[in-house]
Amino acid sequence: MTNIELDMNQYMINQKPYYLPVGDEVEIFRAAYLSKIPVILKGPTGTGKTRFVEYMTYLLGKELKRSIPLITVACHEDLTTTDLVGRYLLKGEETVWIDGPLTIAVTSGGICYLDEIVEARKDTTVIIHPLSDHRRILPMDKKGKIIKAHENFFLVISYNPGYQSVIKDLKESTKQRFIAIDFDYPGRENETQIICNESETTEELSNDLALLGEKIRNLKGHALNEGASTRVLIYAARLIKQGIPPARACHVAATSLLSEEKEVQSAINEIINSIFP
Amino acid sequence: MMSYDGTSQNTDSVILKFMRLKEFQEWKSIGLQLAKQSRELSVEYFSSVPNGLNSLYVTGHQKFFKALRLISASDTQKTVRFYQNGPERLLELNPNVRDTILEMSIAFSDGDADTLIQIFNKFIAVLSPLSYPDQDRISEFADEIGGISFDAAKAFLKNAALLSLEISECFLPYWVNQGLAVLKKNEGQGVDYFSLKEKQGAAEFNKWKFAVAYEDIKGILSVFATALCGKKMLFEKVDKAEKPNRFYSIYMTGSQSKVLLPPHYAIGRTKEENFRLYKIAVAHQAGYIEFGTFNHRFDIIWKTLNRFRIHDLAKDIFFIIEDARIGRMLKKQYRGICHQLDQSLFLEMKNRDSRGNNLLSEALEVLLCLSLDYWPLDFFNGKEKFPKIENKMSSLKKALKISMDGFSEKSESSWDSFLKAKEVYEYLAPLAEKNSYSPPRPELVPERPDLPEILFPGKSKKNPNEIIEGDTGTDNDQLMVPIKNLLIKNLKSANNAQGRPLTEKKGFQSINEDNVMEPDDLIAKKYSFPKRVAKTSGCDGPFYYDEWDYIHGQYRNKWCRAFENATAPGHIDRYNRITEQYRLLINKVKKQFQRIKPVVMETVRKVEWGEELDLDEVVQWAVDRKQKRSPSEKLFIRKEKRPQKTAIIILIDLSASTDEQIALPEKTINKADCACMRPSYSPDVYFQKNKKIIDILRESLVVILEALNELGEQVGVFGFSGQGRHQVDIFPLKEFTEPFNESVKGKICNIQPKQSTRMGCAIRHASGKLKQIESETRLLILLSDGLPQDLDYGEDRNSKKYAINDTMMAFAEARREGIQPFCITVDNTGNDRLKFVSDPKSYLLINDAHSLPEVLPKIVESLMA
Ligand SMILES: Nc1ncnc2c1ncn2[C@@H]1O[C@H](COP(=O)(O)OP(=O)(O)O)[C@@H](O)[C@H]1O
Ligand SMILES: [Mg+2]
Repeated sequence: MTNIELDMNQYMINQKPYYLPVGDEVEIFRAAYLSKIPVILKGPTGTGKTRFVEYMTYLLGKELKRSIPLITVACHEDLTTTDLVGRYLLKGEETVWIDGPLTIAVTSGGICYLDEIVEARKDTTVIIHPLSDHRRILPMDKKGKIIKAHENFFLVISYNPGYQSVIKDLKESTKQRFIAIDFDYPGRENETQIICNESETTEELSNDLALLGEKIRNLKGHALNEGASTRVLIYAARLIKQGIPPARACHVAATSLLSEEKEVQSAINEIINSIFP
Repeated sequence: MMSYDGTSQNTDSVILKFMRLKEFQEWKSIGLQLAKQSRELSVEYFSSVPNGLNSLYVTGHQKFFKALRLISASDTQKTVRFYQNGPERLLELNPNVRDTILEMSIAFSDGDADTLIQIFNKFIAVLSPLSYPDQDRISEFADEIGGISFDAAKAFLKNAALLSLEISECFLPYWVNQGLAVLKKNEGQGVDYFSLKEKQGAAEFNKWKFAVAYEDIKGILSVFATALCGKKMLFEKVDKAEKPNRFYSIYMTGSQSKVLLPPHYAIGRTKEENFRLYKIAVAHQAGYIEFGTFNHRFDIIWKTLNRFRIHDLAKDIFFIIEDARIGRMLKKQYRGICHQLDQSLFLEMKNRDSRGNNLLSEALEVLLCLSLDYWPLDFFNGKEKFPKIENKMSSLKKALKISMDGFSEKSESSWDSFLKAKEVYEYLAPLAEKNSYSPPRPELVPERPDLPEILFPGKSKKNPNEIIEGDTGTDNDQLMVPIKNLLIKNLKSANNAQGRPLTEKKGFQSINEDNVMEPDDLIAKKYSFPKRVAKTSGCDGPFYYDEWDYIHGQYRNKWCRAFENATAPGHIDRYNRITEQYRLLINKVKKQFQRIKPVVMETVRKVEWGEELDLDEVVQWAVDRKQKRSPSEKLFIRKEKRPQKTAIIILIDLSASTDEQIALPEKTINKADCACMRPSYSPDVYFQKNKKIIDILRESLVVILEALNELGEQVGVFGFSGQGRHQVDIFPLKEFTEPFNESVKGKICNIQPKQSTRMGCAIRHASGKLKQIESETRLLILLSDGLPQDLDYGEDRNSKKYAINDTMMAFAEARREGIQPFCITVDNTGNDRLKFVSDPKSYLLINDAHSLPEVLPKIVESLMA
């Protein structure tokens, strides 16, 4: 039985990601990291949760003068504990153990980011319980052993409380092991800056797009289930930069994916052409 | 055409079957008159029953023979032709317009037979290609125009097809009314107007062709408004002329949560322009919220304005200035709207009515232009526009200009507008004559941010809605309804005494036999008959539904109007009595339901643990191992239980015929026999005096609801009835959200036979409700006691085809929405009624009414499984 050597470099963030702090999230995250309290990032899609974790990983690494690996797992319905912890593989006549992402993070002392945790099966989520309280241990049933987490190991999970149904909500016992940082759409001025930075378009255009985002988000809960995310607005900005007329760019980036209802689409298009001359 | 051999005796009896005595005599008398001229033709006349004659209504017969009599005065041959062909041709038309067409042909003919026939044919040729509603409208307008000028009516009819194609049904009345006004002044011009020759006629035609109605765009605009101001806005249609909330402003005020909009815009040159006017009006009113007109300071502003000596003037001034501020803010915020706003403003200002010609109104007009920065003419040369000010008050004008100068750049909030309004008020108040300011409008009741809507004293009596959904609403049948109902009531006792159950049809016919009211009187009255039954309290709606017209193979747009009516709860004792009587059955059904309590067992494959090995996976595992690949560990199958959600809506036919008594099965003479027949019923069930269909419907409902309640399924119960397409009544007995409580039980006790059965509309309403419920299985169960039947729910009174087709179509629509519809019909009379042309999977006819309480749960069970 051998362990496959891992290239930890792939988990390192070497370039500073662009992130614009909107509130005190940086301070909270830093404090949580230093005191080893796991964090839930809560908020709709495209509000910068993933970007924030990358940014914080980089920032904390610089501040603490050590390189911190970030291990991200996109959760999905079929995700099992095996996928997280690790499995035996056959190699020749041998069986080889290969660590799952969670184990890698636990042993290497990295930050493990479980993205969209509620998408995973409920029995899977339970595996993080002993890791996320004072025990900080990971039971590995397959290997029949329990490993203690590296002192720098840190757990971050994200979830979007909006569109999941009740069945898919997080367990109370899971929630109570974390502190929560709320993410929301960044507000027009901040968003203007973000769009401007990410797409390298003009300030005016970015402002218009941010305004559009704000207006469309007003429909959330009325005509739409989800507002247009910052990501979508950035896409629109990039299209415009490539020479697509603004109204058209917004239509393809936002309108047609947000709703299938003709009436709602027409209304959104009216907003678009109210904003873009 | 069916011909009858032999003597006229045969024809007599055929005709007498469907015609009243009075018309029958007229028929005979015309024939005898013919006999005097030509024996042969008279024989031909007497020996034939023209196709379609039996499908006409009484008034149709009257009119038809009136016309025939007129023709017979001059030409025997033509009389017979008209007799033979007329009725069939009439059937090409909407039943509602047939009488009108005959009337008009007679009226326009001036007593000349040839003209009459010619006009009659012309009418049919013009109208028959149109849809029923269009026929309704066009013929009514023709009637109205013809009342003034026959030529004009002719010209109008010539353009009928074009008009109904190009001008939306809700705007046609405007175009016609304009024409009527012209016609009344000058016949020649009027005729030209209707033939679209004259400039005004054509211009008006274009205007209404491009007009946009509130109904058509409110959906889009409501979403638009919510997006702009971030909250759900209510929309209300308000006729500016009827309810102007501010005399001098361009926009209506609305309130914190309500947007007021006119019923239509027609001043634009294109549809887009008219739509944009709406859009700008909405953006502007949303702007009040977005830009803080109704913020926390509004209360103070409003109170202060009210303290001014001429407070209405103060408020007008404030809103003129505030409106302009909102406009500027909009332009600043929404770059795309600038151009649209300017254009719309230009249109509005151009089409602005004069607002009186005293000094004050002129000054206000100047203020409006100043604040909007809108200049039709150069301000200081604008002599024609503002003559009074120019001559007498140019100093005032200058003062105003100075006061407003630079204001727009500085103003930020509604507070700034308020301060400016105070200043301007000081200039203008002295102009008010006798210190009064009374533009012709209702008094303003202050709107406050926390008020849900603005209230105006004396809410308008007339709903501007009225002309909208294709309503011409003057069918004679509709007139009959109140009388008919009265009659049914009165006749019931008489008939019951003879032990003969009274059907709805009988009641209807008796009106005619008894000559209660000459139909001519009815027609005279038709103009005074309220087009719409007034909305009463405890009533929700209207809801509009399309109806399927199988003859034309198309939907009639928004043809039916439904209301939801509250049912007062009856005494709960009755309910308890029923549960007692059916206790055994209820328990049985409950148990049955419990057993089948639909849970879906989901098989989950490829899992790491489970009851069984997944063979495929195991094989794959072995293969993988052999091939030295790492095998998957998900080798199991597991069953997971999940309760299935079912939503059931039960629709109960509350037509007048449910008042019929149930025939007792002959065999069941004593209680012992009864007990054998259905052990789970209490024998009392059979021995209730005067038991009616409605009672058994109620009992079945109680049984099924009791059982379903145990299951915790989502259940809705709705009764329906109505009279005519304008008044389909829905009676919610239990909404889906309503808990199954005393109040629901009480309402179920209180279901009563009402009027007719327009099933299609009721089904559409129910499907709409069911659609909104989140559920895996959706059932729509319709309990009825016969075929759908309603006024003009069919091409003539003998045919049920139209009604059945519409009902089937409504079922098909429901299926498309993922709903399983099922109809149970209790056929009490044992008559050979037409059966639904439908598959047995969704239709069941039962002859013994008493079996319904037992059958209904079985149906529900089989549908749920
Ligand atoms: N505060 C922020 N600073 C910088 N970029 C942001 C911010 N918020 C959102 N973004 C942008 O939005 C996009 C989506 O963010 P992401 O982190 O993927 O969202 P989430 O993980 O919440 O779905 C990113 O590509 C980023 O450009
Ligand atoms: Mg993400």
